[in-house]
Amino acid sequence: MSSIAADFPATRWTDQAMQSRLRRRYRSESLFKFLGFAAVGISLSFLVFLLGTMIWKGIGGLTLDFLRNSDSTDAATAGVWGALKGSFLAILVTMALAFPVGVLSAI
Amino acid sequence: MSAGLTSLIVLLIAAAVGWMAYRHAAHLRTGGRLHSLPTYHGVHAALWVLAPALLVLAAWAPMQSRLIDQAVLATPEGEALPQFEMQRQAILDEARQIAHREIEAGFNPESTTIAPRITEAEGRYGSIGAIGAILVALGSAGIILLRRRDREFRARTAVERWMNGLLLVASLIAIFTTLGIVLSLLFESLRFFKLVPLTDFLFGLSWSPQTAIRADQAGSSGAFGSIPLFWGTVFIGAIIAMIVAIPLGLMSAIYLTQYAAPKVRSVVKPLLEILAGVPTVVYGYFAALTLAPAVRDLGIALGVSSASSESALAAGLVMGVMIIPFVSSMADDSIAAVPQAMRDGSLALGATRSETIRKVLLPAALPGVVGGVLLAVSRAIGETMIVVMAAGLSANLSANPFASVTTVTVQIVQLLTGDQEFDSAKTLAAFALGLVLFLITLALNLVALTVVRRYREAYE
Repeated sequence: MSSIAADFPATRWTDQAMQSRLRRRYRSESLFKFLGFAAVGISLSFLVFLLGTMIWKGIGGLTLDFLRNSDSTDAATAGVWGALKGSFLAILVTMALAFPVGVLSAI
Repeated sequence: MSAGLTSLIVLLIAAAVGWMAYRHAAHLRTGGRLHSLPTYHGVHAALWVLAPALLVLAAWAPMQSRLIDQAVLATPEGEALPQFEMQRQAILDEARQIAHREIEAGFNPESTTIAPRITEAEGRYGSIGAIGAILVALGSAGIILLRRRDREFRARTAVERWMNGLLLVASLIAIFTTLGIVLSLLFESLRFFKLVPLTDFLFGLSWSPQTAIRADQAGSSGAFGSIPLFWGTVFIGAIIAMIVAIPLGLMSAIYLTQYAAPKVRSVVKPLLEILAGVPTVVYGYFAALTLAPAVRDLGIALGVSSASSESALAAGLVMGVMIIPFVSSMADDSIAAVPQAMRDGSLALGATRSETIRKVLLPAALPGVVGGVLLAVSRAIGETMIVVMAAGLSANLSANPFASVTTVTVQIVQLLTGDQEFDSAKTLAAFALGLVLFLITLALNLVALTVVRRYREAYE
């Protein structure tokens, strides 16, 4: 305890040294806050960039025919209905297996 | 008789017996208080009829197909079939499809003559199984009905035991599936280590998985040193991705828990979690098509001559973005778990908020943060799709982020896609890689969970 008191001799509130130390601490405080804000901002801008690119490039190709047609060697008539149906069936099978087993073993 | 019809009949018998037991119990009730409600008497009786009969059906099904094959092969038409096992099996499969009317005629002419025999044998053994199951159901029904229950009969306890058994079986399914996966990895890896010594695999510095068709072929000696693969995995998943994810995730968590207004937090936190919900395929082509060319151009602008469009940097950056929510939500939880009294104490002594966070909250929350980071690493090194699309295939032992490196998961995909023989070292190497990767992620998860559990409640 005494060593701390020796390292930091008592200063007055209005001292020049005290004032500059306080300014420095407040500066680091606002810097830290800004860093946190920047981290959130960067993460969110990644998300916006990702979704933006996806929508920007994808929206033109997303027509009703694209959803309804199955895959084809002709790119103009190709669609995702077959693939969607496959994914959907896979989800159904997974649910049919996982739901009872998961719920029962959790009980 | 089909299995469906048989099950229906068994079900009807069970329902009838259950109804009778219910009536009997309801009748007993007039004489005084029952131990269990009549419903339990009914369910108990029905279960005892249903379970043995269904077990018989389930056990008969695999036996039936073997018996049918034997019977068909014993007929004169069956004995005329070629003795070669694979050819015979192909003909039998075709004949089965014809017998089920799935196809009109087979590729092999023999299958058409065999088909009626299969129908015959299926009819015979099918009805044996069905009659057996129905007899078992009737037998247990008789036993149940003969044992007249009195008022003291504890039907509810018995039904509870059945339900407990059902729940136990459900949890055993999950355990045995895991066990099966681990064992299959283990046995295939053992086969691999018979071909390639363990030390070569674990400590070898060169990876070029080929097996020669001819002995004098160029590059006939495959090299199975896994160090470059694991270096690539660690480089992308644990170094580059974490350089992105730890600062961003941690600072986001700090900002959201300490500075942001509750309203902002309630909007931003779910938005951040969306990052974890984006399909990894989408991340993959995002990395490969959008980020990788930019990274390559940056590398060339910086004067790196070996800048590749399949760089470790692009894959690692995108993987880091994917991991941000994992780090941030774990850090969020552990910062929120620090007692309010410690925060108040620090602030009351005159520390600013950032000083409180750095000197008090973070040290207290460190175990949770470290655990979260370890979990994130184990997820990152098991991640497949991003690296398959964006990282390269060449196994370089390089610390240059613009160079192309490959990862364990990419190599497993490469080894197992396409037509493969399942006895060469090349294919079996995938199992060995999978086993080592599995052990690493398992160890990471265990360490992370221990760290979190051991140090978490130190302040409560």
